[in-house]
Amino acid sequence: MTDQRSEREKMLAGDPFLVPDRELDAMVSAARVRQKAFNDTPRTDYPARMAALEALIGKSAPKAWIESPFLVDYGVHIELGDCYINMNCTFLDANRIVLGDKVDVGPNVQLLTATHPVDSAKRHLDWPSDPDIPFRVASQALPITIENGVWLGAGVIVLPGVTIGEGTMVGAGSVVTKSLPPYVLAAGNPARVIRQLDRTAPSSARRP
Amino acid sequence: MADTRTNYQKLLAGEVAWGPDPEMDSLQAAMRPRLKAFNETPEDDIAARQAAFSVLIGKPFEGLVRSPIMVDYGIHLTIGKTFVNSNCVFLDANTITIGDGCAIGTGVQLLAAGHPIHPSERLVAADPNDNPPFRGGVLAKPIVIGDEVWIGGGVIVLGGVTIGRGSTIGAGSVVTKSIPAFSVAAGNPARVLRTLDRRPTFFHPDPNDP
Repeated sequence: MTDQRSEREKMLAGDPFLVPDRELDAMVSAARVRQKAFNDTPRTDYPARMAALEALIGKSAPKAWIESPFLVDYGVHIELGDCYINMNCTFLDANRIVLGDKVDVGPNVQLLTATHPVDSAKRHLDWPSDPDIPFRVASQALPITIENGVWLGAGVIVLPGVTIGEGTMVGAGSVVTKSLPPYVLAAGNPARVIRQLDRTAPSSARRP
Repeated sequence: MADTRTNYQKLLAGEVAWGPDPEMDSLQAAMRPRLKAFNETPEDDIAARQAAFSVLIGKPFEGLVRSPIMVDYGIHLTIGKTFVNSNCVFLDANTITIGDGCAIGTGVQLLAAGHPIHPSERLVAADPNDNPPFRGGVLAKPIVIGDEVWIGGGVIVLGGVTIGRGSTIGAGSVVTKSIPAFSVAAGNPARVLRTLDRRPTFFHPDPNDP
């Protein structure tokens, strides 16, 4: 039985999908226009920036602050709590990217939900019927969750399907390939747990 | 016999070139408007973007590159039917050649330009009236990315590196040495973790292609 779902439906379900795709390309192009509007809004015009951010991600984010430039794939799969995101971050939201409260994200951080088969014979599968598309690439996208009170150091890269637990800190330049537990300090490529953090210390991330 | 070559000729020969240099600076300055024009071309106008990128690199282009991209000269880039995602930096102080069917992730940096390691070889005095009053040595080596290579987000590739066709480089890796075809490599420095089977692929139905 053939799969009747659109590439977008497969993408959001975390199943293999093919790009380029007309519907997905139109979503990316529309997001680029909203992204530019957000990035070009003066930092001093707080209400306009908040409105442009909410337009970019398609939902309310009353306590999120993002420095320009900020790059996204679709925008609409991003959910932001009370968080601060520094300049030149890339959120490749082919699947959901969820940031909790009291989250700090350093400059140049990349949250990458999209992945491909490692085997090049499986990466380029389909001879498409659309003559404008020279070839298509097999893709898959898995959600990324950053829980409350997490700090991602500058230049951190987070890979598809990763959850970073509450209160955890990831050192600058780390590549997070697997989920990290709450309240640890992790660093390196691939990121490894270096030590536990004190759960009893007062923290704004903790709910009363 | 005195070396009569210009700094730019030495740069492309992979030897130390001294900057600032009027010829090199003018090539870079002339590139800036072409780069700006490409980066500002609407993302959904594929034909206009391919045309603007073709002007940027000075040769035909049939791939897809997302904005923004940053380049050093532009004219030393050759890119096939390949997808390049946002925010990449291609420092093409020497040739950077990318084949067909590659997927280049966000924030990838291909850095053909480097410098001599010892400061005595990297910085020399210039005329004290010059601005700046010293000169820096640039040492640039070619980068070659074979067909159907996937480079993960944030990867850094150094000058002189060749990545063989069909290989995958894990996100955030730093590729300091050449990687053979059909390898999966990751880490800093990137190491080959495993080797893939040679099978018929989209651009290479014959698996015995080099």
